[in-house]
Amino acid sequence: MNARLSVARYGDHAWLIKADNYRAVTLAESIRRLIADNASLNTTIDEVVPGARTVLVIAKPGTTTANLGGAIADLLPEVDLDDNPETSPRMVRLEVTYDGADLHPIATELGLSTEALIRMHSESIYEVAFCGFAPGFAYLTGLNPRLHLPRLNTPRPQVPAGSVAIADSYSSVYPQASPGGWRLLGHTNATLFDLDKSEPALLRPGTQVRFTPTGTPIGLPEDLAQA
Amino acid sequence: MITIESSGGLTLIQDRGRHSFRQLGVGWSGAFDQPAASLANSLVANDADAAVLEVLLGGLRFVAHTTITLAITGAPSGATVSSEDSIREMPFSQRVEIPSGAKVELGVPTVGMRTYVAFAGGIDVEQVLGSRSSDTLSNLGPRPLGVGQVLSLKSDSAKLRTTPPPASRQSDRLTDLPDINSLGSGTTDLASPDLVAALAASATSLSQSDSGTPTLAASSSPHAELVNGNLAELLTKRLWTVGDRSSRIGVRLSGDPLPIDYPSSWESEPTLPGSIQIAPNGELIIFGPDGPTTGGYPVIAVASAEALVRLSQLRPGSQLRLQISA
Repeated sequence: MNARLSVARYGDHAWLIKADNYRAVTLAESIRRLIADNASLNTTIDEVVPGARTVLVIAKPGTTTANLGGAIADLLPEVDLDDNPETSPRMVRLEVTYDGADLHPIATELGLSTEALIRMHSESIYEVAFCGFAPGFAYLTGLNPRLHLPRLNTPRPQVPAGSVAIADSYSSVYPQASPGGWRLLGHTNATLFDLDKSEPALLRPGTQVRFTPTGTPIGLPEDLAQA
Repeated sequence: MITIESSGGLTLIQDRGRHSFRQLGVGWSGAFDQPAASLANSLVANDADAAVLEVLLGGLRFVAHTTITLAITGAPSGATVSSEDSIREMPFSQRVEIPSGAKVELGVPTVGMRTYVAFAGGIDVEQVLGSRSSDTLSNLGPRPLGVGQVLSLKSDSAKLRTTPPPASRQSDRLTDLPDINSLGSGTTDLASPDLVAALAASATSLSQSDSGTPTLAASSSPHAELVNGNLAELLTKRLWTVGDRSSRIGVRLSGDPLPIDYPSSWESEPTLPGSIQIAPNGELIIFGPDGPTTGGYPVIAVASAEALVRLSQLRPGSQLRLQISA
């Protein structure tokens, strides 16, 4: 059933698995579970990192990697790409004040009222497909296709921490102030990356996210943010 | 304890890096020339995890407030130790003890880019996600050193564990290795297998720096197929020049652009230090230790760990070749 998965060497200490049309985050989770059940791989693999369409399996530094590629290839037939029914996804709800610098320009560009634009962004359920760019910067899939817009031609030298933004098919939140070319819809006061927590990133691969406009009644208790 | 009087080009605290957080967007960081940092630690009998200083293009100057033991490795920068009444050359790749009040100054390296300074016991700064490394991309870990900054050393508070030197063996095993003139009679176990291995590994990183064009090994990535033609053959004909904007995040290489059907869009993919991206303008970018955890340009090949070490010491303007290894 997983004939379409392929693994290729990626440098001296890693292997890249192409997920084709599968969700890379689901593939990464399944591979992580299979590695945990394999004593030899469990001691030699450092990390399984998803991207948009690929998963990188990274060996621990200094390990002997001679037979690792084969051992990883051997896992592929067992990969389960269905969502694991036993684990309900972790859900985080972020309260957003829609006051971003690009809110009105985007509404004008798309011929929408700002209310309609806010509704379009906040009614979707998002999922962290992968992280990158900066610690705790999550690429969220699930953005309404009408809001798929390219990045700014000229990135801003400074985007404030907590900025809620969109670019291409993704939404995200800037965990810390940084330069950035995504279009800014608003901001949240949530702390996205906290070094004092055992899990420093609030949004990590597989986490589901909902944005709630400030002042909107909060949903059911199980939907509340959990860090 | 030491006080920084000049931080030179850029002085960073580095160790073996921050591992296992790439899926959260946190890169490895860590010393760019790991063998040189490892050798410095071995020379002062530190744990392999101890933090050292990584000095870009020399210029570091500091004052010791206690008697300290240190070793300098990597790009040879000609260091001096001065006290009230004397100034003398500080030997390179050796364990040296300097008295309280003495001042150490690193010159500009004759070859290479990065010099490493290890202090017995290591530098006492807080770990962030399991590492004391300074990540110049994400700003995690200690900030780059500034003038007037006081650095605590672990030797300030604890008496170091010392082992008598097996003097009869050390000369047998180490005299034929480069950069080691006289190993002195320190309290380190100088014949430890770790040290011998560290010496051998660090000897390679600068060996060709001033003689001929270095060839760096890489393996092709699954996306090498984007290149029109055989990547290995195309690379044998090309000479690359290290760009001015190179850093720990990425080393930029310009040269005769590779023929490629450049994709109009490219999905972000996980990357590693060593990933060789091809930019739309044909420039190659080899990710360094602070490189991002995902990249939006195609990665056509991945540099070997040894290649990355060589790259850490190549100056802007240096030329190199890339060779696809089997």
